[in-house]
Amino acid sequence: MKNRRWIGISVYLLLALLLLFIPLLFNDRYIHLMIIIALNIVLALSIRLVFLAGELNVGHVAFMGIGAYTSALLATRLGWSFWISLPAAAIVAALVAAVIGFFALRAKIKGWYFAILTLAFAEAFRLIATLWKGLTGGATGVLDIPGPAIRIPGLPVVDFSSRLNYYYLALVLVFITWLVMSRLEHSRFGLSLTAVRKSDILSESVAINTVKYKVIAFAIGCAFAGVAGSFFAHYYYYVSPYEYTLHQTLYILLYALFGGIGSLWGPVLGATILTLLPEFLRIAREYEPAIFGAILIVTIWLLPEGLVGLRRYITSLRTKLLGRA
Amino acid sequence: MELLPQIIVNGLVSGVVYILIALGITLAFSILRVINFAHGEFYMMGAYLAYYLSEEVGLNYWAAFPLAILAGALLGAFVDQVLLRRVGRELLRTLILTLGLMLILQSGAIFFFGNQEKAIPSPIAGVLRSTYLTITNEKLVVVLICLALIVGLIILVRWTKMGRAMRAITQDREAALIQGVNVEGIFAGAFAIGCGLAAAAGSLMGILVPIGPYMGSVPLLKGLTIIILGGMGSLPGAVIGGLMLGEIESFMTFYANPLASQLVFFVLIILMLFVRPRGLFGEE
Repeated sequence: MKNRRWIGISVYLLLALLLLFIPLLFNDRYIHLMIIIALNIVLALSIRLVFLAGELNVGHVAFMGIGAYTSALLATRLGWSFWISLPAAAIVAALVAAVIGFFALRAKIKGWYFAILTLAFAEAFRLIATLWKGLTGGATGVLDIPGPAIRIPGLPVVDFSSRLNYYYLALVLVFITWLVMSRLEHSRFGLSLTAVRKSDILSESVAINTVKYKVIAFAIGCAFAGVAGSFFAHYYYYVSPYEYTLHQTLYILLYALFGGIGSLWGPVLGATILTLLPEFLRIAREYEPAIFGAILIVTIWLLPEGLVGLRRYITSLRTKLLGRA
Repeated sequence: MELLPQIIVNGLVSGVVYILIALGITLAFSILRVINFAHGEFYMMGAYLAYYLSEEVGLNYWAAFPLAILAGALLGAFVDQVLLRRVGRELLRTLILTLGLMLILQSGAIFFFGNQEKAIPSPIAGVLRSTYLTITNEKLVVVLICLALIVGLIILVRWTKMGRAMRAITQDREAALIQGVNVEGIFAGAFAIGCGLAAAAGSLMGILVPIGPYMGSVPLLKGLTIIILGGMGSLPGAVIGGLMLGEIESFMTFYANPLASQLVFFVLIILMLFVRPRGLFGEE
């Protein structure tokens, strides 16, 4: 027992060391790819939380957009530092989600209706961002967003002109997301979410406030979407409404589902593999959606539980074939 | 003010096409309890098929039109029986499957037909003119065919044996099964009819507007708006909702801008869901 724990700890340590030093071996192009993987992991993990409560957020990208615009506007108009506008982006995204979630779920908008509501919200957000030129800069978006910088008196200023610094920042964000999600999942809150997913009515009968749990899950998930949006805004130095389309949400959903939502490792695996895949396949950009669509369908068709369900599938297959012999 | 009749007629033309799309979505929702997020791509596929058969194969447009509908319906039946049935038509998996299908069909259209927009040369010439109103004959024919299809569907659901089976399933799936209704057959049929209607709408619109690989996403969202407005699963709701939407859009496009008119739809969906989730005509 003690032995196994040590193995676990050393595996994690090794992984941490690997993640810390691996970018030193690669050039900027690959560091950029690793940053994208990291942010996709944050997004996939964050969209999963409301799944756990049995609801589907088809408008995740809008909360990412809200975070991006909040952060971009605070930084460009009010001159706020990235370190304050990032949490502000998370808070604004979470508040919007909480308000929508509260009114929707209290009015018994769930299942397909919730999916349509979030879809409509995301489209409405994109159009508002395009039309409200005074605030958002319209179709051009917000430009010249300053990158983050660390200014500690007495030490040299660390600015984020190199990709490597962004990589470490992204790594920290993944770590925080993972920590929050795993803490939530293994708490009473996580158990209640599962209960709510399995049966609304039964949960209510044992005094679980289903609306409250769903709203909290939705808001926390969207807060992390806001964080990712804020990061992207300061990483690319601009935001524009064209980045927040339904296709983006679909990809995030795909990362989570391909990996499997049964465990936290699912979205991590899914986001990593599927972000790398187009790089290795080197297919034309316009056929990429078809490949992703095919992967979606095959995954759902053959592996309803995603990649993380594969292990159980193999075990059951083995017992089926060999167990009775 | 002399433009008023023209705006109303323009709204009617897009309205009837939206109704065809909304009817398909609402049929699948009331009977199978699923929403096909690739529904707009069946519309797109219908347009491309009509283009392909009439322009590249060289058939008469009026021969291509029923073939496009048939192809849409067959693909619909396949999607339902092979993909949706396998996952038990459960919310999350159905959504993912149909979204995956949407991506594949869009890329497929680019693969076969390229990014450039296509156009079907009009099969009907001529313009109908009066003092306040100009309407091309092709628009008139499109409206008439759409109306015929809408009436046909309502007759099918109200007065045929298949329609009775559909309504029975809507009310109580298990009870219908016990009474000997071929539930899977009706599921496949209803889904196929919905997809066929979308393909019909697409091949008709293909005469009026340019055909492109992403032309399906707007009709899907409009179809969803209509069924939220009219009530999910309600056929009269879809008809009235579609007419309303067509008119609102026509007026908004004329007096404001098209983006603003799209925004109105989404705000309408959101408000309607909050205020009256069962829609104007939906039953509890």
